[in-house]
Amino acid sequence: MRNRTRIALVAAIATLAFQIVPIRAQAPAAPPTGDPVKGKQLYESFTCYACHGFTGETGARVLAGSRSTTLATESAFVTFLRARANVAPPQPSTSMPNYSVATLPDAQAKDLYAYVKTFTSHAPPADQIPVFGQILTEAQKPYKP
Amino acid sequence: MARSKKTQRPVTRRGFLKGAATAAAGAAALTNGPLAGAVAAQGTNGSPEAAPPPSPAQVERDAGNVRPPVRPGQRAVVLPGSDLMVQVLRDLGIEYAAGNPGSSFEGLQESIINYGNPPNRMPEFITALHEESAVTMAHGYGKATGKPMCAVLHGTIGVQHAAMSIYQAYYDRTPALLLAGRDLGFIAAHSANDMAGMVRSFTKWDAQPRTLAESLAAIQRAYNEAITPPCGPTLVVLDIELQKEEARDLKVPAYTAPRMTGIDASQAREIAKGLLDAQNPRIAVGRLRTPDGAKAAVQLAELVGACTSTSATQGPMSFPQRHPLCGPGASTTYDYVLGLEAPAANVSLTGPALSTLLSRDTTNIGFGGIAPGVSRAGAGGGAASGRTIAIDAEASLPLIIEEARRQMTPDRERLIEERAGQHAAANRQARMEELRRALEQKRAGWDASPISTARIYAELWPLIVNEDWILASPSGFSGGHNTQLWDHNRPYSYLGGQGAGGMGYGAPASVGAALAAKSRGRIVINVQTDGDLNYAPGVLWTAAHHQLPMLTVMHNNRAWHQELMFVEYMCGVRGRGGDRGHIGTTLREPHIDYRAMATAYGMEGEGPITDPAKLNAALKRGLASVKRGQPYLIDVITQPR
Repeated sequence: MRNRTRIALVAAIATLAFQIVPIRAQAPAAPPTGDPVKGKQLYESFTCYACHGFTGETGARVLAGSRSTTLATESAFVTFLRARANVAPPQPSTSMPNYSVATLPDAQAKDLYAYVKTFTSHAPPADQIPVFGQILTEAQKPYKP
Repeated sequence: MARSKKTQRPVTRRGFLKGAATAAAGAAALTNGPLAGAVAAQGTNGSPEAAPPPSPAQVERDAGNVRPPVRPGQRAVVLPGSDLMVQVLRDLGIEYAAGNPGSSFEGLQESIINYGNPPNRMPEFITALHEESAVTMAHGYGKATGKPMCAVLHGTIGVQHAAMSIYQAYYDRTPALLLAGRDLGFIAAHSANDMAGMVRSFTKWDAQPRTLAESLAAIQRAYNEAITPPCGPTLVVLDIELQKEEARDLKVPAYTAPRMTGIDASQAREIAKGLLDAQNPRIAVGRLRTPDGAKAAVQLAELVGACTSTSATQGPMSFPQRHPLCGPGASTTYDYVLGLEAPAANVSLTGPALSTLLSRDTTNIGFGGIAPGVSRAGAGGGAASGRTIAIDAEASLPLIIEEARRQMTPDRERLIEERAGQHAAANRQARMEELRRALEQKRAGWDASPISTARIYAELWPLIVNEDWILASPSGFSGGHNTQLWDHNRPYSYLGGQGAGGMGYGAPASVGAALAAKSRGRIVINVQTDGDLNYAPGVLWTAAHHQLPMLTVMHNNRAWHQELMFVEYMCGVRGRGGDRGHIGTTLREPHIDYRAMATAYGMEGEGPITDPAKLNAALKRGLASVKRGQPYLIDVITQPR
């Protein structure tokens, strides 16, 4: 029962976070105010790459080119980082961690945002990747036992 | 029954050591004596002409025609008990016995390498560098073939080294035949009264026979127990005296294969009727026991025109993923669903779970996931909403097929043919749509450095699509991209996860699969996570030594990334900083050089590769090497996942 309560709490917090973010996201986007160079150092030292890739292009949540509301504005991003708290997670989690002010002050959070906003996708369109063409060609061949 | 002590020990321990010292002195004399120069010249020259022709005795030995000589007064026996043990293994079709040498089975080992014609075949002795690896090789082989491979363990220490792998094979319901040597008289710490007791809670069956005759029967029974559902590792403890005693006129007992129990005729009739009466039947196929089971599942699906689901992207012995009937079908409103080792809406045939063996858990360890009601280790996962018949699905299939044929009518045949065509068209369309969506996702980070894991799998696929391949490594930690990009059409296409999530599995399991592959003209792909390889890298040497067709592509992300995320999450919720999560979760400062590691173990390789544009050519070189019978390792610096 206790675990279930905790899981429900996590779900409630996550829901709240996603409810808050769109409201803030409605404000006109302003350019990042942080320092992307410092943000890069934070991205690496806080091992953000573990989930988002070293270039923001891979991983569980791709950041490059993301239209997520949590990345729409600096304030939405900072709010999102602060809203992830779950003080007693029942199980190991690979979810996005919480970053309190004590862990990541606002200035650093803004630096991080500035760096994340530099990510761009360098991936070519799918139809320009020759290997993908080969994979599609193979898939169209009849099944052979 | 008292232990047979037919053989005496005419040589005392002291006498043995004295003899050994004499032999060592003789060897020293040889290297310093008149032949020393010839030996050295032969070794350095390397020219075939320098080697003397084999003597008649050597030819006989190579042909396997040699028996220990009969010399009155000498200790050697004419027909060692271990020769009969090896004959039993040979009769059972055991291809390989992996182990690293120990002082409790030198009799058995000598028989494996010298007995029979040809010697060292069925089984061939495979040199392992760790017992854990030896058993995991058997685990990988078992999943690739549905048959047991043998691992040989030395005494208490070998059994304990192997314990984790035994547990993992047990949890994975994979057959393996383990033989442990026991020598009560040599090194006391290496022997125990009840050797198997250490692993009894997670082996399916064990025996410590007291006579040679019992030993032979025990090996046969251990084999049968291993392959009977729930399949699992079994262990026979073989005393050194029994291995070395004179067998005299003892014969290998006739082998009787186990009878696999399937459903009865009335149940088969009911299921066949359900499938044939349905307008849109479906068959959910989980993991069957052997390739024959997968073949029978295809037969049944084709016979009744049922669309199917498969677990081929999760592990071996399931329905071919790209078979025209595999997929959601023309309609997802199914009016009869049969589960074969998988949960189903109407009837599920689910072989006995590991929980049926819990009486062997005498230490009351109480393993998570094996207890009754927990389906994870039972059969296919998930809960069945319909009726579950606790019986082996594979053994039940022939009777269902027979009944379906009996109940077939021309009208039904016409409907089935029409329905199968509709399913095939719908499944093909679904496949292409799914593939296009997947490719759109996989292009993310295509040109990024470090290299994306999706690119590794995508680049590999066109290179192996026309090969007979096995993906032996678990793909979950490297993104599982094979499940969407590759076609898992053979019972051994993908061998699935570790079993119990234990690390140190990928490489040795791949070596085991490569042993199976070598004699069957297949190749093995091992997308190897770095954290996992470092548990037991010595298997690279085994692969090189035995020239196994195994391509290892390193998923070198320099961390245990799942655990890094766990720790980061805890850092976050506790609010004590997030910049120290790398401590204890990363493999850096210094980075590990896997190409150098491969080279050190005698395996060809290249890397580290950081430029994605260079990946394809490296993979081609690797595959060319593997197809020549030489394993190859490519170190690829990758994105975390």
